[in-house]
Amino acid sequence: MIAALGLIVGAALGLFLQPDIPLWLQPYLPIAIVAGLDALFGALRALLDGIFSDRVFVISFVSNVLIAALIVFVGDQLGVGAQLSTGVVVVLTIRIFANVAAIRRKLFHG
Amino acid sequence: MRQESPAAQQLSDANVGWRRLRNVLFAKPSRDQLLIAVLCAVLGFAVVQQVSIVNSDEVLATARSEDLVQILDSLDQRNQRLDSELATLKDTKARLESGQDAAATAAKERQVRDAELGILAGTLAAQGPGVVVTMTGPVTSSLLLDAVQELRDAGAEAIQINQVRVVAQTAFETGANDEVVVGGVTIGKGSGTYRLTAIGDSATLASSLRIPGGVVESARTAGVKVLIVEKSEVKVSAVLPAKKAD
Repeated sequence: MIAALGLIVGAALGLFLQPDIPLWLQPYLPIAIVAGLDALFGALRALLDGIFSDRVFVISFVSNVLIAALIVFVGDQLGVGAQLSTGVVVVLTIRIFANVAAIRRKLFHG
Repeated sequence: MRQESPAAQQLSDANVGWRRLRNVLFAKPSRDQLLIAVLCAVLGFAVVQQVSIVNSDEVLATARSEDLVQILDSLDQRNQRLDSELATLKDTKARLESGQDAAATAAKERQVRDAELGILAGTLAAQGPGVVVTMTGPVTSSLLLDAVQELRDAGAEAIQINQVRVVAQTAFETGANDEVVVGGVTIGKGSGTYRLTAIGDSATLASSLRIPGGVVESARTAGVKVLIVEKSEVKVSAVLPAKKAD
């Protein structure tokens, strides 16, 4: 409940404050978002499995975002940033689909 | 980071899933949940930011350098294409404009020449400074021809005798009964009054007729009275029908 509230509050803050994201961070923002979404769906699935742990979620979220950003950063340094970020997005998207499928099975198919 | 374990298989009851979801939704807030809420807030914040960036014009500001190079490249190519198109169109424009100018100039020139030739050929009426010569007495066609030649030499542009326009081809004849025939028209017989109207510099025209041994003298010898009037505006109104070009 409080997590959903946090999501809404964060979105509202972003809407009303409109802060300037530092330029160096901007290329990594979309990747970080996808990584965060992946962590979120993973957490939801764990919750339905009854194995949800706050600590695991926090670590998973932070490390997901950091690793995704790191991969893209290294890719940028190597000159293959565009391709690597595409790869990261593809992998994370596959995971999100898999998690959502698991969640769906838990909730509707029994 | 997927949070799963073999235990997941054992709890596959849909009711269990819903119950857990409900439990979490109505669970009492704890410190750990607050941390989760903060992470979720960060995520929501980031999503909104990214969406606003993408929707704004700052897309280029967030693009990576190789993408920018590609965009610049394509813009350059587009620019070149448009440049060459512009050059072609400018060329066409210049050509059309000069063509138009040339056509206009040609039309103007044609009009001027048309007027000049019309006056020379006698198909157009003319007016301007000139002289009116009135001869009274036994005028012959050769006397008229002399007068006309003298006027032409003096630079007369258009000449008319009575109602007959005199041009290059105009014939001066003497009829079987001494009629005076000019350009195929009988304009008098024996003694009579003849009026020559000539356009040109009036003083030059008048003096050309008056030179010693000239037209006026020989006319007087033949008993013809000659009256020359210089005018600043005379009209040569007689015209010849225009002939179709061969």
